Amino acid sequence: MMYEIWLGLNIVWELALMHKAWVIPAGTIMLILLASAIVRPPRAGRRAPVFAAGVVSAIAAFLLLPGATMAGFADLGYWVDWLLLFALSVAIGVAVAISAAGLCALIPDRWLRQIPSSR
Amino acid sequence: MKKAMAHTEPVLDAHGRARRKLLALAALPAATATISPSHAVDRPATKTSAHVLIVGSGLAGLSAASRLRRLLDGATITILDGKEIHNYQPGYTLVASGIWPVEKVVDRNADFMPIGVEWIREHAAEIDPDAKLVVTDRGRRIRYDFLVVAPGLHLDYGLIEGMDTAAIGRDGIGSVYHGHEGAVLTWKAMRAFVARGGRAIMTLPSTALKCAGAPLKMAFLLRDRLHEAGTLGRSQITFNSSLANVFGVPQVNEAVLVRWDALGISVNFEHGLKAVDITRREATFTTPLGEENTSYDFLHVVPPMRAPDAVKNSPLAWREGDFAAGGWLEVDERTLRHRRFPEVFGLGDVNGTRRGKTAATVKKACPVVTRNLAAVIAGKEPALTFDGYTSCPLVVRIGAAMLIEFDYDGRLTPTLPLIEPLQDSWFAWLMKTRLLKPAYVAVLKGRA
Repeated sequence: MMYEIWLGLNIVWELALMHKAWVIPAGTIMLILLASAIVRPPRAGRRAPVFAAGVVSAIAAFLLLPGATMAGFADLGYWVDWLLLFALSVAIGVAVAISAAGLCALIPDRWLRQIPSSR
Repeated sequence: MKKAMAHTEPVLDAHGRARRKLLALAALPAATATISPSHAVDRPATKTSAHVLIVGSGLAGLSAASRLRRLLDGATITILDGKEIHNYQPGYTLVASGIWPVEKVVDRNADFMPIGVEWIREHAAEIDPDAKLVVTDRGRRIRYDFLVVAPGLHLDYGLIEGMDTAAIGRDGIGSVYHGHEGAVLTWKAMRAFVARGGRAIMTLPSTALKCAGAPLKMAFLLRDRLHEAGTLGRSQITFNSSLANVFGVPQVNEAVLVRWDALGISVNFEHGLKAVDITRREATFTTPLGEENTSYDFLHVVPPMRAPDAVKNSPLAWREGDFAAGGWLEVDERTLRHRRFPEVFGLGDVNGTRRGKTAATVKKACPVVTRNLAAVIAGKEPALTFDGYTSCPLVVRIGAAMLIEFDYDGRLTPTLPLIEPLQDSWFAWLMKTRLLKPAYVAVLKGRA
């Protein structure tokens, strides 16, 4: 099992190297947003839109991921497929929610006060 | 120890070295070192002044070089191969069925050549293991102390009368094995056939094959493309196998035949492709009842395969038994050490072993070969053994595959115990199309 973990880490590393042109900027932005979300967690009034962004993204990922990989829902004939799709969708939803939380923290309060739903 | 007599060339230019150093600095996080398994990451080096010559710069040759660089301190390591392009061959079926662009399977060998390894850009023409000498196609004579034979194999299209590899891509001829250009041209021929439908003949020779699942995948994917194009109803796919099966592992063979029966792909056993008349689009097969001529609109040619001439014509080849005809390398199937020349090891497609001519085989066999070689250099006996592991992500349609792994004895050996090998899945499709190339590159760099 240790070998599989090692191989998995290598796969992630090589994938990142293959796509470094967008992984590096996207990763940097994600880290900034994550740090921002940790330093200034969203206040009660802002949690609902952050949560909604995560849920919507997860649902969208669930619906779009098979097609984005040249497959369709008919190809998901094994329980492992559904588990994987669910896990990937949740991961994307969480990433979007964290990014949204970080973004909220970066936006000055006076700007948000102008948006009725954020009051 | 004698050094190589060859004049050797620097492997990387300054830019390449600088880039490699940067990559090395940014190498895997230190945390991963603490969980790296013993067989994936090599232990500190054995001190030696030996000259290790590696014939071949495919996955086997390059991954062996990377590992030996770490295992051997002070050794001269030389790779002998005139090939500049590095092909990701497991991706050929995806290119040949229009799923991947060809760019995904074409890289430069220079990008993967380990620092400190000498690269002679010539091909091995003769191997004289008694004199510990390799002669190149340009007449250069290279002496070695230890030899890793990893030149891949030879596609023997010449054994099919009338076959012309220049015809691949036109006149209904496809052949996924003929390099990355062959894969592109196969898709061109397949696409033309799929547009109008007709009679497709898929072939399988009786020799050992690299990626023995590729001919099966091509049949599955052709059927899927016909279905997608709406021309399946006026088409017929026949798989002509030279053997009494279509795959050497009985359980997989049975599973494929059941699927093909349901998909309307008919199978003829003991039908070996003998000749092809390209202009008349007619193929001749040898059968137990005599020769049979068949017209076709699309013919997928899988050539007979054998060891490259440099090995086949050398004392290193099997002299008797099942592997003698193909001139395959006579290695002990467990230690992968030559049975008669103890300073010689074999890795990859060239080995005359019961199974295993895939990238997955190299992934598992390379640590065995390199560590056993290091042990021999240190004056010990080889301690590691190889179980014949190989793997075939068998694509059954666009969007689904079966993740089949097995050993020398044909036992299914799934890495992930929860995954049923004969169950087609999107998970296996994602593995094939998204994750296996990065895994391959990690093996190439000697890390996995």
